[in-house]
Amino acid sequence: MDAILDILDELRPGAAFAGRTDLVDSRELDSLTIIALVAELEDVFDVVVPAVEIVPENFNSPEGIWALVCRLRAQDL
Amino acid sequence: MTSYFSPSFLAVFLPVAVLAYQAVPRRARWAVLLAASYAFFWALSGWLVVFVVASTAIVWGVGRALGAESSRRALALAEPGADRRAVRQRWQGRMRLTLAAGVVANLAILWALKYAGPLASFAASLGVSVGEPPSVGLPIGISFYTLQAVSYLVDVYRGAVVADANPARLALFLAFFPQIMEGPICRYAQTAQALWEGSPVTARGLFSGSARMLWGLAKRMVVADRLNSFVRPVFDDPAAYDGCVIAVAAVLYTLQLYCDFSGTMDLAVGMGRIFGVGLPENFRQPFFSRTAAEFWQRWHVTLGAWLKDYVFYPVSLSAPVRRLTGAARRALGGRVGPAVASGVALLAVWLANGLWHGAGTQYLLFGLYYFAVIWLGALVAPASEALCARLGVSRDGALWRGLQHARTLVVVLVGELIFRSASAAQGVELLGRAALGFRAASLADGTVLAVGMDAADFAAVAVFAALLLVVGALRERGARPLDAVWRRGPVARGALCCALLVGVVVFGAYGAGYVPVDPMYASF
Amino acid sequence: MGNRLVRASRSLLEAALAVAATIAVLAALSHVFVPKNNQAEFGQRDERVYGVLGQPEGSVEVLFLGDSEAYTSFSPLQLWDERGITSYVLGTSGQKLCYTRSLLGRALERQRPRVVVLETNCLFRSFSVGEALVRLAQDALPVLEYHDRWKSLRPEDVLGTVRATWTDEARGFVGKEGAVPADASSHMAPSDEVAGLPWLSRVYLDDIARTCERAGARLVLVSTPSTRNWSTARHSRMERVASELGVDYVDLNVGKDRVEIDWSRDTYDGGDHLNVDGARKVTSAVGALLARV
Repeated sequence: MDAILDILDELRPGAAFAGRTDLVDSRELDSLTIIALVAELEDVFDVVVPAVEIVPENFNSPEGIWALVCRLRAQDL
Repeated sequence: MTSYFSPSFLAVFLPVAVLAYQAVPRRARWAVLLAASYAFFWALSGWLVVFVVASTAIVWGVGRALGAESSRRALALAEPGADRRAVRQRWQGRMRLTLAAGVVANLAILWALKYAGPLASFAASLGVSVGEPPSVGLPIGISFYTLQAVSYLVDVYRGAVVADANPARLALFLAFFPQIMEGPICRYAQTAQALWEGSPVTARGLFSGSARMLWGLAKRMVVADRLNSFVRPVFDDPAAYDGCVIAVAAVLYTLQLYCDFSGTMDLAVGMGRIFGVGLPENFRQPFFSRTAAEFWQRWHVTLGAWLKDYVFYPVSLSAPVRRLTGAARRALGGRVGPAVASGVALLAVWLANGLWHGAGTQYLLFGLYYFAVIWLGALVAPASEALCARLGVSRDGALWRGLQHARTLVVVLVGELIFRSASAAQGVELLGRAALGFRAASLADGTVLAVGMDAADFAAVAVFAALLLVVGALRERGARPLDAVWRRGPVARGALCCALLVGVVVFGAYGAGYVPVDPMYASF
Repeated sequence: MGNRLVRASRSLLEAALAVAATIAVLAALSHVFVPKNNQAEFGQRDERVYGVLGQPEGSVEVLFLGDSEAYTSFSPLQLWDERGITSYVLGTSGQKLCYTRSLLGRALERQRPRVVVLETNCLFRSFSVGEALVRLAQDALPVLEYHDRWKSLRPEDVLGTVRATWTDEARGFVGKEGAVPADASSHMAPSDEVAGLPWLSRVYLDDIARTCERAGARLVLVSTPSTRNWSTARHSRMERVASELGVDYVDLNVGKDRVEIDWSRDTYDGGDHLNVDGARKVTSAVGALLARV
């Protein structure tokens, strides 16, 4: 979970991410940032994020991103 | 009846549709909506209605096939001892073929009707004869419902929605008359079920729908149609005007297009509310944007979202681009690398955006222009943030924000000037003349007033634009003006509708002395 | 259930009140926006035909209705000279029958014509239900037609009364000079075809006929000479319509009522409209007919 916050912080330095639930809706994460984020997640957690998973519900909060990663890892097994 | 703005539509068709909808039992209301939708289509496009029927049939059949394949995949995956990875791969291949067949069939119809003719004449102008494709005309809204059809199929393929067994519901989803002409481009998950349910017309829906429609009518009839008498002559014969007039025309055209398109969307959303269906918003105060990328998240929102979900992400996450992103990250780091690699997906998005509007070179240039602006913006963002930090400039200060707003406005004005031109070459030429041939004196010596709008016209536009700005600023702060009026009670509601209607009647640019204008996005 | 019904009828009542209030406001604004005199400088549209309002009450014996065929063919001054008949032409360019109906209504407010002549070309110009509704709404609420006068409103528009002190010297006639010959070789060639009449035109024609009857005026359908606009197929249609309506039909292109038009000299635009020479012949012929009815 902290790893997620670290990644976000690296991609958008200076923005506060902890506790947020509107990252996509408030346009904090635009599509280009999401692509960079996905590349980072795939690298760090060794998962593949399919296009269908790129919906606001999965990216609006750090918790949502973490849940997505957990789900993808479980699915892959 | 030629559009939502025809008196016969507003005074006869719509009221009859609403009354009939409300009069029949709830379970039959979908039939009223479908009949009204096809009647509207027929009134505007005649026998071309067969094309929307054909698209519906294709989407229904292919959606069912995809649904069947995905349930058989689920069965295969559930078998004990199955090699899940192999099963997934096998079925993914099959389903991709099915999806491709459906998408290609829909795009082929769009291609044949919208692009084959212009391309053939373009080829002919290069001296290549490819034969004249048969010209049957363009069914109303084909560019919009085709995108809805494709999004439904992809959503079924992805498992985001369940394939619909009911062809009537799909037909209604694709052809619902308030959105058929200019969108918004809806997703199946957003509207199909609500359209089918036939929720009753409520007092609140009727009020907020009617008020929203009147607001849209005002935008279009008071501002957009009035501006047409300036914009049209300039772009019909730009050689007759100096750089200053062209620059003014670019500004006024941008305002005209906004009021025309977003006004029509107000009508669509308003009609949806009357029928109890929440259509997605297509505009969110676009002129309050700080960057070009943000502008496109606020202007024609549903097209941008469609391109993001069905072009940008799929291209970005395709195997070759994934490899490219990986390589770029290793070479350039986790921030700049993906930004560089995303150029591929961005180019695909902006070519699609430009050419979706038509086959003209100006649309191609328009797409490439926004591709360049947005890609460069992404590439320099890290450097500019670092520079600001070094210099101690606050990126949230009023000055910086003001500069961002101004820059974005200029970017948008340049884009719309290209968009309105007759060709890419003319777009570049007009841009050059507006920038280099600008004589401020023309603003003062009456040249601008001689084009087609007198001082009173400019005053009417200015007053209404100021009103738009105030309402926009309120909405930016999260206010919901119509809800506030609703809570104030019946007198406030009646007064608002009465004021809007009287404003449209008196200050609308219609009747003798004005050339009727077709809704601008209906031809895309 | 009862509660819901009460709520629904309350909402309906509120909506009806809002609509009524809006109409009342538009009616009040109509008094402001309507031109205060029947002249272009007061904002009057189509002042040439509205000049009929400036004629002394009950002074016009014959009204001519129709489009440009009417105002280029019938000359009231000549009719007065030759036959002592007073008349006025209510023709406007590209007139649609819904507007014809409105103009007739306006003219009948102050005139009791003996004969109403309807030139038949405008019957074949189709118009939509929407256009007809707009015309009705404009007649009821003139602000819809004259809304653009917000740019030029003056204090007297609010306080003053509506007058009609002006009339057209030529009584609605527009004489066209010059001649462009027409090819009349196949004009009124025999044909079994019967031209189609837009259904809405028929509805309005019936209404015009009833209106004339109520006003005690005799309706006469007249087809003026035109190689571009008139044909045997249209003639056949008009004959049927006239007999269904029980009104007189006179075709000046063909048969016993034919007017000797010299198509090389009597038209100013190649057979579309007549020039002053053609109009002189037509007016004489129409005068002879009017003297008989």
